Amino acid sequence: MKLTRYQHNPILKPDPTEDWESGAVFNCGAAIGPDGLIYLLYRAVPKGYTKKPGGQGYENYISSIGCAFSQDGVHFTRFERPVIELTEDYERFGCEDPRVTGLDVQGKTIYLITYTALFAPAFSSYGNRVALASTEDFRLFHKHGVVIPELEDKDAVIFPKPIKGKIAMLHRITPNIQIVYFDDLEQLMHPQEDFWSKYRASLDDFTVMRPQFEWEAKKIGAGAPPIKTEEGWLLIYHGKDDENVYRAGAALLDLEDPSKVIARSPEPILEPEEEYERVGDTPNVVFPEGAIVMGDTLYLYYGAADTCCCLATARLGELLDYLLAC
Amino acid sequence: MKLKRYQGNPILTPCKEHAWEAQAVFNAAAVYDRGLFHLLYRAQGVDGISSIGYALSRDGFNWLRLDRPVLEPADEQEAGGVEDPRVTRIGDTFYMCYVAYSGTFYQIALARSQNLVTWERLGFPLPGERNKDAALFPEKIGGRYCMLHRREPDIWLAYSDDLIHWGDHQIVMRPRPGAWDSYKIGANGPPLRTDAGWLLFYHGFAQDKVYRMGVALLDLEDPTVVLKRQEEPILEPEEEWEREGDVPNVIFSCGQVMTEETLYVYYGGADTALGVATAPRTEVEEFCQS
Repeated sequence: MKLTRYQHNPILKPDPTEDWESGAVFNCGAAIGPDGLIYLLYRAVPKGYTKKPGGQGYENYISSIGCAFSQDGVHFTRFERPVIELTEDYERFGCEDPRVTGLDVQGKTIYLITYTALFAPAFSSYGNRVALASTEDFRLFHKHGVVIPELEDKDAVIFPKPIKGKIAMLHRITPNIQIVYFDDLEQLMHPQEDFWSKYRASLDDFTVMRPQFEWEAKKIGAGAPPIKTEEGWLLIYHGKDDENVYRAGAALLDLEDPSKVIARSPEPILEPEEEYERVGDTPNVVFPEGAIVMGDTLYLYYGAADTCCCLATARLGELLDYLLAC
Repeated sequence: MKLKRYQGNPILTPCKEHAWEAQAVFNAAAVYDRGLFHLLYRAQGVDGISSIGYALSRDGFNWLRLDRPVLEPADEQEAGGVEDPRVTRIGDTFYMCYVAYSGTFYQIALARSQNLVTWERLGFPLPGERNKDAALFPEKIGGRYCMLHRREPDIWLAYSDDLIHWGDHQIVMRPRPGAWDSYKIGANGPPLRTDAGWLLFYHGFAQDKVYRMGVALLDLEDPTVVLKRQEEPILEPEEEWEREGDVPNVIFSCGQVMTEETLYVYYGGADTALGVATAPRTEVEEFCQS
């Protein structure tokens, strides 16, 4: 089964009049805000970056995070300045790939934003950490620092509901997807000294998925925060193959123990086909980061070719039926 | 009482890159909500048509704008522009009184919102009447909604049970012969509640057509009773950006914010850009009590 692209993609393109988002806007997390509007948090890069001589990637490439909202999920109004930009040392080379989950904390919804904070230039082989920010209203944003220290790690997504009373988060120590649990927000933000060393020692126990098919052979990583359905947690994720093509896949994880994979699609549900997905700063990339359900439709927001933001949809029921039949 | 200009004025200027706000940004309603300052500002495109933009700030001086307006002309009655918004919070809902300009006729229009960015229109409070400078009181008075408006050259008010049907119109204040506000006056921002009365900022001009700002205090129970009216203006066009622009020698406010320590009055200058002037809360209270 394949997702259906929105006919007028891309939904957000770089804005040549705003320096900070004049080069590229892509990889976007999504959530329904407290006011019922759909919010996108999107990665933006100012123009002026140049190809690295003889290597992969770009120089002078520093991302920040912008915010836009919409009533229909398709037409967006942006804030003119970024809402998360490099203010701290740990993110001095960029704030990338934001994902957002609304979590109920003591009767109030707090939107937790995980993003990749760079302390080395982009496209270095190191320098990536999972960092956390939050907001209650998509107006005022707060930073909470690096949450997974000392590990090259990305693609962190927080489950929207506690699992057995704990806050659960998927993350990606290459090439697999792992899960980690926290007693509460406090432990997520300020873990005990040995929390992560203990965790790393039993990493295998916490591994949820490993690359299985050719299209995801190099590595996989969570795309959007898991969506709770009756059949299980719906996880849209990305996989990279040996030719560096990024595609989107889908899996169903057990509600009580997400490390149990109930179903997994052997084929990608979205792959680079349109020109805007095949041609761009990083060709042949669809990178899903935001997924919301409105009515019976899944809205999947993804970055295309590291250049623009796009939307694809599916009937949620249809996608679940397809997965269960895989 | 005097207002002190912010040294960094103007705080908002036209944005050449967005056609809808390339000509002017001025007359802004202001709200302080959950620790943030919000502006609903009038923006004019090069075609002269106004719409309303939104901006956000942590400190009241440095602003984050949206790239598209939150209210734009919807039909023929607004085809000439939606102008001069005043926003009041009543309970959990924000109400905006604005001027719907057709190109030939203007009238007061009302809209409401829960979040200051998506607005639902509620029609025209005084349909068919050429009127502007409308602002809602933040509370009911005597069990009824109360709205300031303007029947030239005076400031009036009206009452309503439902925000739709308005009546019981009465004069609040008139121009003062021989003074700086001798020709016409009109409300600026919505009335601000203080223990001593409703603080009302208003604009006025004399023969020189220079728009200045005054301040008065109205009785809490019956706002047609003017307890106090400062003789001298609290602010007048002095800076270059206030004296020169699309309409010279105009300062015009559509909103103010009072925090625990400070009063912030947001005002348009020369119908071109937006600035802010402040006063310590203690000074405002002194004016009210004396």
